[in-house]
Amino acid sequence: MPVATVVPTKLQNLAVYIIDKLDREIGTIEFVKLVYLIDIAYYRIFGRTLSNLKYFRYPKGPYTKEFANEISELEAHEVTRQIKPSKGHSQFPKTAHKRGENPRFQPSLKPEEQEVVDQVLLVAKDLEPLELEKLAYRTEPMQAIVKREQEAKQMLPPGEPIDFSLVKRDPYIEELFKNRASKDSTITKEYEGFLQEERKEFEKLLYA
Amino acid sequence: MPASVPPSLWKKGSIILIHKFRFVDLSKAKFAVLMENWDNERETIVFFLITSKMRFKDKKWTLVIPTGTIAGLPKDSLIDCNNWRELPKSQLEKCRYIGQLSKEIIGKIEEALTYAREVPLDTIIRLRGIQI
Repeated sequence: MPVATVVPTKLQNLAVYIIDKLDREIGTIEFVKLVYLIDIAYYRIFGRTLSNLKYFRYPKGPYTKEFANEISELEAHEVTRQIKPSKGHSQFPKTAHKRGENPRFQPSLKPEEQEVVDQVLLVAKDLEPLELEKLAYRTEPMQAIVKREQEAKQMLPPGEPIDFSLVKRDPYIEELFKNRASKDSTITKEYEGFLQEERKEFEKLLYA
Repeated sequence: MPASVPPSLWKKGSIILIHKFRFVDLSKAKFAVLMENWDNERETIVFFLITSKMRFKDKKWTLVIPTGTIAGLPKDSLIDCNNWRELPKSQLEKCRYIGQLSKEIIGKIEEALTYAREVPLDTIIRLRGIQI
């Protein structure tokens, strides 16, 4: 029977890419935190999130119900989900996600998106859920929430929006974008010819 | 890695001499500057080629290496940030270590890199690293 074609959302692409890279089971809360950390790193560079998710403050840090809704559309195909008892981090059973065996699509991310995701996974993929939570709390939007809670001497109600505009942008990358848009980096025909010639010579050098 | 070169020397800012890899014609050798440390987990390393074509010395993505900075480097040496390559470390094992650029010059290369249109964004992010 032919498999129906799907047009995955950015989050679905990202989630499948992460699951492929992890090659292990991952619970929902842990999964959302990984995506959150990727969004933080991505925002720092591009000024927007990669997943397009909107996060809210929940007792265990940043969370969004939208995540589970979108991932449920991948069930039985790209992702399989299984309810399992918690390992002690929570009183509730966890939903463990792993790679599905009947995928309808392969994840597709742009090279720069992939680079950000790979670098975050290098740092965070093997962290225990509590360490991941600590890392999420160290980000600027969560720090701002913690500060407000300290001032109010109580936790904000679940569902408080997390403000990504507080994430400090990378000034180097901002400068790069500005310069690329300016005439200062325009490449002339003469220079383009020189560059091509140089590369050709270099190829010869390497593989002679 | 060549036995005579300690691993700590192969790092960001190292100047290397890329021979014709079969070591036949040294006149075709090329200088380059490493933009990553050898000890990262990747199998390849990014570097910028060095050219003697001084007519491009005023481009914002190029940088003249001051004469005498590195012994063994020709007088007219220009780092061209657009002229980047990514090569397997096994290929670089065949290169010769020439010297190390100062932090100040590495800073200037990074500044020049912000004007390099030919370097794709993923490579820029790779060289820059991410911050969570």
